[in-house]
Amino acid sequence: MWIPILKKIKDDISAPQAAWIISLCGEGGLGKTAIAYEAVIRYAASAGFTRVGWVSAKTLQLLPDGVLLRDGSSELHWSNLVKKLADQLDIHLGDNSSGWISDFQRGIRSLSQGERCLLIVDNLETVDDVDEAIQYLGSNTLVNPHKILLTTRHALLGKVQYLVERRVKGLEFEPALRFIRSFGNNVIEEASDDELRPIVEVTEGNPLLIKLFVTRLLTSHLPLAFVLPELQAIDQRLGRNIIDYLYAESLSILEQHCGMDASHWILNAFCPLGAGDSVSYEALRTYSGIEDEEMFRNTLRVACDLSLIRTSKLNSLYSIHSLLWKFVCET
Amino acid sequence: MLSIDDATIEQKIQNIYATKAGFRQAKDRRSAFERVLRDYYERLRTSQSPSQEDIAQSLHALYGALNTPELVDQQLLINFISVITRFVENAGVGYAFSKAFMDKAISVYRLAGFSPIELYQEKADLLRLNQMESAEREQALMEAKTYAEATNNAETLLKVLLSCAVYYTEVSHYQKALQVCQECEQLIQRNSQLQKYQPKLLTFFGMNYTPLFKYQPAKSYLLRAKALLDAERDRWDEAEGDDIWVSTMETIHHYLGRIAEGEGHVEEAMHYYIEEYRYLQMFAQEPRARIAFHHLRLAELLISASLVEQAREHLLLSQEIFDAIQFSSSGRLQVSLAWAALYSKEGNYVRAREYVLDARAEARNKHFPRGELWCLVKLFWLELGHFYLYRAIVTFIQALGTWRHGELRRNEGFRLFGHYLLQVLSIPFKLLKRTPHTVMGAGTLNARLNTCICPLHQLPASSSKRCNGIGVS
Repeated sequence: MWIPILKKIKDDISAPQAAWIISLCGEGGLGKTAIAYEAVIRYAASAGFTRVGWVSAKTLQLLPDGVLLRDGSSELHWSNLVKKLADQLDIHLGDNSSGWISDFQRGIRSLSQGERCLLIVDNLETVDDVDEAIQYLGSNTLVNPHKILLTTRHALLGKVQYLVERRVKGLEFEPALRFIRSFGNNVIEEASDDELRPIVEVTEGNPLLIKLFVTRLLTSHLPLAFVLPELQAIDQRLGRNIIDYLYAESLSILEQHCGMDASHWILNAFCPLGAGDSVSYEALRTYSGIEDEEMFRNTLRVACDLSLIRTSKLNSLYSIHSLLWKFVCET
Repeated sequence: MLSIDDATIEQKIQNIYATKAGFRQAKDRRSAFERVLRDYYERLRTSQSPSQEDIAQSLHALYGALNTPELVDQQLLINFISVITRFVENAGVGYAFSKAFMDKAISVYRLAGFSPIELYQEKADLLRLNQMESAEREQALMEAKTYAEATNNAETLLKVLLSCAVYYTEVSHYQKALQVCQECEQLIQRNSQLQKYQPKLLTFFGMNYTPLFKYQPAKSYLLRAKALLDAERDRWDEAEGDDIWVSTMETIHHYLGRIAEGEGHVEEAMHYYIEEYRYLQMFAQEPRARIAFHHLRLAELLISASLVEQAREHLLLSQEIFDAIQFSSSGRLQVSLAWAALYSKEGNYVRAREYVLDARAEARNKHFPRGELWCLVKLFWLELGHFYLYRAIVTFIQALGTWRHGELRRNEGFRLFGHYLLQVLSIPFKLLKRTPHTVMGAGTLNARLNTCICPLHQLPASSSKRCNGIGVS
């Protein structure tokens, strides 16, 4: 799906000099992590990297505003991340955890000449996160011949030395069409490329938006010729907030199918939790307060069909996307 | 394709706002918060040691509720806060988060007309995790004291004064701490119902005489406190009272251990520390920070006895706990110093020096004057032990510099320095007489300790691996 950007990343990580820090930046829902994963699987070995370490820098107790946990414990947080990286890279750290960061920088510098490490730091949520990553991984002293691959929502070009930035955009036309058709519905599969083109254009190839739109199309049973112009017209008015329209439409359908109360209750059940946090079936039922189990199951099923609620671990955990959490819960 | 007029689009956009508002209705949100908080509350209330994840999620929900307290039943919120504060330190959820949470909680308590005394005390306790000495921490205690004085309740006031004494002890203002202890003593004398606090107060006296090298009065106070507690064991039967009994006993044994160690009686010190561990296991909630300090003290003792491998195991346990609870105050600094001592014992001067210097920098950042002086003393002996005389002299001068702004200034600097000098100068005589003797920062002489007698090291080799996390969950 992402051949062009993958090719660029391949060039970046294969280049014998410069581009020591490669940043994949783009908004939510574009698949930055998936691209990074694909790039590492495909090209890390052929680019000459002998060791690969991958950590997610996402703060465990991230609050909706993402700010509160930033202070105070960043050194400890990075100390633990560095330990995880060191374990994967087989770099020995000393006993004293206070010295792990400097041990890591020293350890990576003292690797033999043929050794090259690729460090992937995923989910750097804020600019502060990136600054810390650079500071704690010891950018200037660490890079060459090693490389760092970051995924972030923030543009860093000009803010960080030795950095090349690759902006992750939506899917190109052909991959986007394949993605749309992957939903496996006859109506969609039989549609011509030209008929589907407006979907790609209005969603700018953002996989999350495509998914929400196609789900709405399929569940509303309204003709594409009716649904699409509406989306296009609203896109012109709302621009980047088009996702609000898609969520509002899907939530309206949920209300129509399951009743206003049950719809509100099931989604509000996620509000006391963190954005993106998962809950079990039983907890979700308790928190929603929907006493009639049949009604709860039906509401849950429809919400999942509309891609409002996501399932994971064999349907044992339920969550909502952080953007939907913002839409429903943010005050 | 159909064309859509502006009015329809406008209507659609209005629908977005309407849907958003519909889903954000207070009544739905209120029910969700109440159900989630009640569920977490019940889980925490009935659990002895909830998982870190459980606590973190509970705090998250609580933080949301504190942001919009009107959404939650006030009594439920306050009950929840009382339960959660018991676990905050153990949770390792991040200092900044916990502090912001505590500030919010105080403001909610005040709005609801409840007295925030306990929360101020909790806040002061929490601030300790990040920085020993801070104006904010003292301020929190002063706020608590002001509220306590207004209540005209002697017991409440006494509890706050005891918290103040703890603070002054921790920031090395031992004289100030002793003054507060005397205030407490008078309060107890005036109010006979406060007699039950006598053992705790005696312990505090002992705690403050110990770092001033006044070992005899310190020991005397601690032993008096212990005798009182032993005699009153049956009276401390309620859950809360039992915790006070246990924690005081634990503190007494800890300090008796430190005094024995200071006097060079390492075996006696070890026995006290092991006894201390017995009390640590009696806490209703696992006191992880205390357990971490316990392992640290054992490690230090074992290092001084050159039992390096056993020391390493205790040090690793201590470090794991400090890291897990994100205890970023003096604990990790002391662990660094202990690693330095261990590496020095192993002959690795470079690494030992590096760790001491890092620890010193951290002590300065944390405004921990005792820690800074301690680092300099360690560094001095390290340099001297490896015959770097020039560096040793420079370090000595730097240590004396704390007279102007640090530890020596605030606590009878002349007397402390004189006492320490005496310790050093008496080394040759003590060596000749084969008297056990400890020179702080340098080591213990003429004392023998053959092995660690803690439960971890007394288990058979095959099972000791399994029990490696002894006391640590």
